[in-house]
Amino acid sequence: MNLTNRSINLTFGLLVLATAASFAVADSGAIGRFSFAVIMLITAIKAAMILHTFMEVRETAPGVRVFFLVWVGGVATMIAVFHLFGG
Amino acid sequence: MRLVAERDSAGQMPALAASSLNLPALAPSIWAFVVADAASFGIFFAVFSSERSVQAAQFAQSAAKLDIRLGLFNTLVLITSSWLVAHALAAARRNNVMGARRLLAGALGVASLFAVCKAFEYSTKVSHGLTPLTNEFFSFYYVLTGVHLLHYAIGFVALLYIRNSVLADGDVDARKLNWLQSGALYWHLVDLLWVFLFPMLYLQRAL
Repeated sequence: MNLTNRSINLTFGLLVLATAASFAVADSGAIGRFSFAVIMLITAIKAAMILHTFMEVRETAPGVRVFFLVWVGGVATMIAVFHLFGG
Repeated sequence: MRLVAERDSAGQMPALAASSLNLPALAPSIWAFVVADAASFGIFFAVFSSERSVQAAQFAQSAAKLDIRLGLFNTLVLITSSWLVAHALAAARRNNVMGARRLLAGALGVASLFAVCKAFEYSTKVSHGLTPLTNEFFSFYYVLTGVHLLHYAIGFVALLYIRNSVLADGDVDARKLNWLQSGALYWHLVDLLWVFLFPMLYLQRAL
């Protein structure tokens, strides 16, 4: 059991910072064509933090851990690639 | 497996044994549901992305009509409520029932802002003539956020029931902890799905 107050608070702080960072990247468009890919990378990191700390996915069956590893990476990559090369 | 800890000589309730509290032992069924739900949303995201790649200009122009500040606000609301729910679970594992109930009340109070914001957003969009029939982007927007809102409503009612009925009295036992862990897991899924919906719908404009 690793759901400590410290890990919960640290994850919350990082999630807020990551959300602010993705908003700033979108708002400024500073990275140009690759801005959305950067935003999806930040999104994947946020999802991994939620799964790791809040959902405690590390405590569950290996199959579930593998599923979410593939799911987060796959979904974020797919959305970014479609956005980058689509249309 | 002993799950209700005995009071020590000072009458205090010690934290419940960690080995008794791992998720697979207590909530395997909710994990199966969470996996199936995430897989379903993965398909929704793929269909949306595929359609966007065909009509990139229309999707970008339509996304620009969404208020990015409302999307950001709702993201922060769900993250904050997830944070409070995680603390509630940690409190319950220390057998602090009153603390868990207070934290769940806080989580529900914060989470209610999500529904208020969504109602405001939907009504504003409809009043501007932006309905599910406007174009493909807004069809996706209403379907994806609508299905997510349904998940939110189910999670909200589940957490309310857990707070007011399951944790109403007495010490934490295996049944109560299983309820809370399942409700918390589902609530974090609602947060997880929104983490992807926010950039897909709100942040993609003009990028």
